[in-house]
Amino acid sequence: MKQMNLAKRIGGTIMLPLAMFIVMFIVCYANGKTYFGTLPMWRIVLSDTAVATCCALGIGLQFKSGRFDFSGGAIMLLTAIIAGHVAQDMAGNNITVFMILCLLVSVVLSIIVSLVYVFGRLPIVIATIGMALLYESITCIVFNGAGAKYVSNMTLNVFASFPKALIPLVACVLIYAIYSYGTVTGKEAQLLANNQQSAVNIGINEKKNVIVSYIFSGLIFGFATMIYAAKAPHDASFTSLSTAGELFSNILPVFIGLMLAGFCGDLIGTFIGALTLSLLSYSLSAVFTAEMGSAISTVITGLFILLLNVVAGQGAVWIAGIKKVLKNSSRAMA
Amino acid sequence: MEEKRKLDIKQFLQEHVNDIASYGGLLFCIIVFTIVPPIFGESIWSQAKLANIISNVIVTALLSVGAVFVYSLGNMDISIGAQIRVYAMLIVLLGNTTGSLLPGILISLVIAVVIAIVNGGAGQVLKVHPIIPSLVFMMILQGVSSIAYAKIGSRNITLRSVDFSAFKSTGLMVAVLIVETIVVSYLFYYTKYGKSARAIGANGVAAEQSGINLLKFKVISYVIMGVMVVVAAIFQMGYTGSASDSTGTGFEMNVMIALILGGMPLSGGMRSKVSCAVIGSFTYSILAVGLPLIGVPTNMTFLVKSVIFIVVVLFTCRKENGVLPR
Amino acid sequence: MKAKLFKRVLAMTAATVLSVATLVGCGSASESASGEAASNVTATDGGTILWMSNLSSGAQYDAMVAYGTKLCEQMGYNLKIVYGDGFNDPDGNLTAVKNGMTSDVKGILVSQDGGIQAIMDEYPDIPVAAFNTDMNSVFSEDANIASNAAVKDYPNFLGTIADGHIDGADTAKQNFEFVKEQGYDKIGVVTFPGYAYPNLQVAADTMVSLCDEAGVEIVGGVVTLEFQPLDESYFQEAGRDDLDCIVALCAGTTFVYPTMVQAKADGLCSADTKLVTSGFDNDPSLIADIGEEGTIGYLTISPCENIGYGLTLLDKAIKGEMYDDFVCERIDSAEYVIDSKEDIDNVMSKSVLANNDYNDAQISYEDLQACASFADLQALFHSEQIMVDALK
Repeated sequence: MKQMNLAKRIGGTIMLPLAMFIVMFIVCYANGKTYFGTLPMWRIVLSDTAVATCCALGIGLQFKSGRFDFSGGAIMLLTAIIAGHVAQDMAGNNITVFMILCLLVSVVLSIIVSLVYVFGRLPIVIATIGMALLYESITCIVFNGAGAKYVSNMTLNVFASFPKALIPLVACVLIYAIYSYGTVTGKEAQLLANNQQSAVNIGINEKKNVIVSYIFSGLIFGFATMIYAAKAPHDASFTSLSTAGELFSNILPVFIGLMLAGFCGDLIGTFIGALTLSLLSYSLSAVFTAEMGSAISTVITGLFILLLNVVAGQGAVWIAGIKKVLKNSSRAMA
Repeated sequence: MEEKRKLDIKQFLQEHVNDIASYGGLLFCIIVFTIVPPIFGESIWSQAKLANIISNVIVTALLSVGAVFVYSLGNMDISIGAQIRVYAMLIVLLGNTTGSLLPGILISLVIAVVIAIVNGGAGQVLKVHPIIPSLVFMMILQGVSSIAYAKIGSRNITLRSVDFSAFKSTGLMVAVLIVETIVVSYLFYYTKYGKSARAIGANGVAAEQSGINLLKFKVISYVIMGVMVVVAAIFQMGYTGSASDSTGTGFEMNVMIALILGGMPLSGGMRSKVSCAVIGSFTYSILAVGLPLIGVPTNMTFLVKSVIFIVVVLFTCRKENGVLPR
Repeated sequence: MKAKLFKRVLAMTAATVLSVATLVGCGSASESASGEAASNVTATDGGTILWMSNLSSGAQYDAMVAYGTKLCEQMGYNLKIVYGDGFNDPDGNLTAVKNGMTSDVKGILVSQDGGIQAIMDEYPDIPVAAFNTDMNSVFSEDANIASNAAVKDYPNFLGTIADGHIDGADTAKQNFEFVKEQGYDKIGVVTFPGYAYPNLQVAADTMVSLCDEAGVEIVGGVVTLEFQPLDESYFQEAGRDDLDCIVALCAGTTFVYPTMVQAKADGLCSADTKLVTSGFDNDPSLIADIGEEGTIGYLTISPCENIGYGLTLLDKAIKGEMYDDFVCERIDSAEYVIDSKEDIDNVMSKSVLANNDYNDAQISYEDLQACASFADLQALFHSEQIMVDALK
């Protein structure tokens, strides 16, 4: 019985990326892209998955506690700008300085967000929107609004590709796991998420819990920034809440992770979700021309997310319905 | 007697401190930008600057007023910007083909209603998180508009044979905004549509058990907003007579900021007000127009706006007691 | 209760005082900054030139601001910068200009063409000049693209100097010359989408036909980037692992170079593959990789002194001293052509592009004043004085 459950769990976990791989394999080979499935492809997909997973874990850590946090993108952008420019201009392109600053700045910025939320007693969406606006405005001022453009900096962009992209990924996974399963704060966060008032009534210090959780999400965002800054150039944010786009694109693996949580937990589920979406994106870019590829990829990803959510929401009902029909028809035949 | 009056005033202030704070934000901006710009030889009350404020605010205000219905449900719609992009494109394309704006507007209305039905109904029927359908529509509409512009062969398209000068008229903008605000206010405060939307936002379970058809009134709320999005798209397109593949970028965030600044509770419910939309939109627009007048460099403008945003929300949205607000 | 209300009132008062002080302070700080800068030159009482920039940061932006500000001061103006829409959206550009407009603005300088007609309709009395943009929406023959064609006839529109070649075919020919000189016979070509950059479409098509004629193979055809960096999977296509060079018609230093370097490190791309492209990035590791031995074998950059062309035309228009032979048109820009270590070293040590020092500019205020005609002005911006060889 135990073995079947394990098999069911493993099957449920890998079903989605496996199905995506098979479908995209067929699509790519049908279009002459025979490099799909090769080692170089996996290196590219895994490095894309790493950045998506890291960002998603930072967002997901707050999301599963019931906090819809808009400030993650702004924290990553401002951290990338400060850490990168200091490491590049003042520390002689020192990668260690860059890494330390990414973690430090990200944690400080996250703590400030948590303090505004806790002591400002603002709804989380409003508090995080306000802080996102503030951080975005600071990106326009620091270092003359230069943004974070290190793609050409061969020292700072080491995390852009495999295998070094796995370092921040492993770190983020460990931090998330430690927080969720290894700390009292993580366990208390679950209680607070399920029933906030009851959890407070039994003595959980909600303020402390929030601040500590933001320290952990700050660490995750710090590691995420190391890849985020290396993968693509980022301009300073001159449009209100332009970084909210990071939230909405990186929350997709979080949703998939929540769906798969029953099989493998939300942590592995988030990774699986990021992997699935990276496979989809890679294949569509390979098959379609660039003019259409990115647009078609956006449309198909949107439809895929809708389908996934519908199946997740209604799947059990449909399966029960099908079982009932089969049962009735077998009875009728008998 | 005097003491009683003092107590009444005090009580009034305490009960309405949130309203005072949100109106206060707007008043503060008006006072500051009346006093300070003349020191620099400028005036925000010049005809040109007033027209600038109205043209800046009109699209956000029209969207925000319509969005009050959806936000009062406790939902948010992040596909607004992408919808504006597609509707503006359709109005310009069909305007150039047919010589009239009407076909584009009508088709946009049909699409808006379809999107509204799916956005409003999908959460209820398919049991998905309410933000998922709007996220999906945002992605689909962005992709569709990118493909369309790639096929057209240009990033910008312009009205050629249609006279759109009427849409530059400040008077028309003000008139449309007033009419829309009156219509939406009537629907929101005096009809079952608005009352049901607020009840659903306050407590969906209680609303359902008291006989409110959640699906029907959610869909109607989204449809009302959808119609207003088309109206906003007309003015967005109309000022320059053009549409581009980046039209509408970030508009959903502008709506959110305007509503929050105006004191709208994002959880919806009975404290939702149409005035939040107008106050917030004007506050943000006056800041955008007024700050350069007093010599604030472009890259500092955003900082000032964000600081004022935080200050205002600390007064309007602060929850005094109990557990931390979610 | 009393104490709470008192605290709230106090907090609101404090916030009000702080905000007013901040606002007034910001205003006076920017005033004094421009005042300080003006102290060495003639008083800037001629008004303000409003520059709607397409860039908000970067080496080229910093250089243009430094050079442009000093030039304006010598002409008697302040230079005020607003940021145009990042996607060249007409409404975004118009809003940026309207929000930045003050009563002392005498001229508008633009670096992108979205909404130019709406801007000029909004401010019909203010002269407008452009630089570092080809103003395709004004000058193009294609009706699909020329959405602002009416502006050509506006008396206050003063034309533009492009960023490089106006005709994409000239860009292609220039790049092809280098390919032919080096004896390359197997290349890659990468570009931006044609609907966004019609000239690059022309350049790509011309490149294809030139290569066809000369027997040079473009492996896998022309690849279009949707404003995202080139993916490493590009090098996984058959035959692309040992290209002689990649001709990047897009901003190759940002969108192609990093991927090439990574691909070389991963063994997906030959170590000898060169990059032929345009654009400037002052990152030290990129600079060190330009030249005969580096990855970037051929680099073209428009000089930041191009801003002087637009400012001069505006100055003439504002003062009513326009050249007798002035014609509203668009002209090509001169280019730094960097194909050796010596060239890039000279640019980094002696040009205003790298140093942000007005004294290193290759066109000074006096040079501009010395132009007696529009033909002289155009000749100055195409002279050897502004070429990279003049830096030697």
